[in-house]
Amino acid sequence: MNHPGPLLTDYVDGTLDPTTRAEVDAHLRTCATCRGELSLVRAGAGAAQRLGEPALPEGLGDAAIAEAARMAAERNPEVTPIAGRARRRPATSRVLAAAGAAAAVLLLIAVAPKLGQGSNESAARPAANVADGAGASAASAFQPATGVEIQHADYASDSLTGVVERLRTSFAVVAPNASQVEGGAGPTRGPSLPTAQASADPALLPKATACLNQAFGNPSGTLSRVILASYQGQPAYFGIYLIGPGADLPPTLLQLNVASVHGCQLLSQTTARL
Amino acid sequence: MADPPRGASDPELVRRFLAGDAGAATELITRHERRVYAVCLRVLGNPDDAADAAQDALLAMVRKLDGFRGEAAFSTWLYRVAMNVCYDHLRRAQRRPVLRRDDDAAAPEPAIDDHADAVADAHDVAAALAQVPEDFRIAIVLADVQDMAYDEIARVLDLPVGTVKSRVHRGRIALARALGIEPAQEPEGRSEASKETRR
Repeated sequence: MNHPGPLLTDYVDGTLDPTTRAEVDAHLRTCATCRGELSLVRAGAGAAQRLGEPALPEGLGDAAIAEAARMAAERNPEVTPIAGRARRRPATSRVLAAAGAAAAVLLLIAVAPKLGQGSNESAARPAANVADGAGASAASAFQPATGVEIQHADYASDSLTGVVERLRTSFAVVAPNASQVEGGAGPTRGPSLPTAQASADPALLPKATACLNQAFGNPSGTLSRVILASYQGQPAYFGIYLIGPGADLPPTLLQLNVASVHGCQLLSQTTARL
Repeated sequence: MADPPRGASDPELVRRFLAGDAGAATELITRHERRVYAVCLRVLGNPDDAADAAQDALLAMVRKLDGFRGEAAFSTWLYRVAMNVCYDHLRRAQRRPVLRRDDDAAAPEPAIDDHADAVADAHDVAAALAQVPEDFRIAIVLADVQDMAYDEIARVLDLPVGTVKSRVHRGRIALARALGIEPAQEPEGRSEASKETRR
C-alpha cells in the first residue's frame, strides 16, 4: 500500500474496516515516515479533544432573547398593537417591553433622544422609557421585581437624569394617576395594558440581579424593577431601587443603577429623593 | 448540540416560536448558546470576538428560524448559521491566523515525550489551535472539540466527506506541530500502530 495519508485519521478514530486496517498496519511496520505522521495525528486529535468547554459569558443570549420577544410580538397582533418595527436606534423607534409567560406585550413610547440626533426631533418626542410603568410599581412600592423587562432601546448618559426625574415624579403620585404624567404625545397608554411587572421575564431575573450586585455591591434598598436595554450602545441592566429608612416606612430615595450585561461593569448611577 | 433535548424537541420549539411564543425561542437559545459560544471561541481564538460572534449567531438563529424547514437536524442547521457568522467575523476582522513555521513559532514548551497527552494543557492547546490555518482549524474544532461526525460536518460546511476527513487529518497534524510536537522516531520494524484501540 502507498502512504495511507488521511486513512491514518480513520485509523486513529478506529473507523477502518478490518482489511484496510490490516493493510495500514502492514505499511506502518515498514514506513517510519507514516509512523511519525501517525504520532502527530494521534497527538493533535488528543490535544483538541482535551479542550474543555469554556465558561459562558454573562448575558450572551440576551440580545437574541429580546429579538425573539420583539418578533413574537409582531407575530401576535392581538396582544401587540405595534405600528412599526422596533429598531435598535431609539430616536426612530418604539420601545418594546417583552412579555412573560402570558405573552402579553407592553408597548412603550419613544425613548429619550440619543446624542447627536436632530434637536427638533428630540423636542417632539416624549421621554417615556424606563420611567414608564413606574406608577404601577408605586402601588406596591416595596414589592421587589419579579422579572426583567426587555426594552429595545438605547439610553444615553444625558437621558438618565430625565428618566430618574420621571420615575421620581411617578412614584410620588398615587399609582392609578401615574400614567397621566406621561402627557399627550405619542400613543396613548390604554387601561388594559399590563403593568411593567406583569410583562417581565422571571427567568432572567437571577442573572440580572447578580450582575447588578457584582457591579454595585449588594444594594441597601429594594430592587423594584429591572430592565434589559442598551446603554450607550451596549447591552445593560437597569436596576431601579427604592431605598427607605426601614421599619416599613415609605421609600425616600430612588436609585437607578446601570451595569453592563457583558462583564457586569458599573456603567452609571443616578439617584433622586422621592 | 448532541445533548438530548429536555422537554420539547428543537423543531417543536421552532414551531411554537413561529406561532408567537417568545418563550420557545428563549428555550432554544438557552439550550444551544453554550455550544455556539464554544465553537465560535475555538474558531475565532479569543473570547471577545467569540462573544460578539456567538451573540450575532444567536440573533441570526432567531431571525432565520422561519427558514428552518426541518430537512436537516436543528443542530446541523444552527452550526451552519454559526459558522457563517464566524466566517463573517474572520473576514471582517481580517484576523486570519497563519500557521507559523517551526522556526519562528512562539510555540509552547516542546513535548517531553512524543505524545501530546502528557504535555499541553488546555491553554497551550487553545493557543496552538489559533495557529492552525482556518480551514483545518474549523475542521478539527467541529470533529474533535465538538465531537461531530464527519458526515454532519460535511453538511454544515457543504463539503464532500472526503474533504472534511482530509482537513481533519491535516488539522490534527498542524495542531500537533503548533504544540511543538515532533513526529515519533522509532526503530524500524516496531509495530506501535498495532496497539491502536478504537476510541
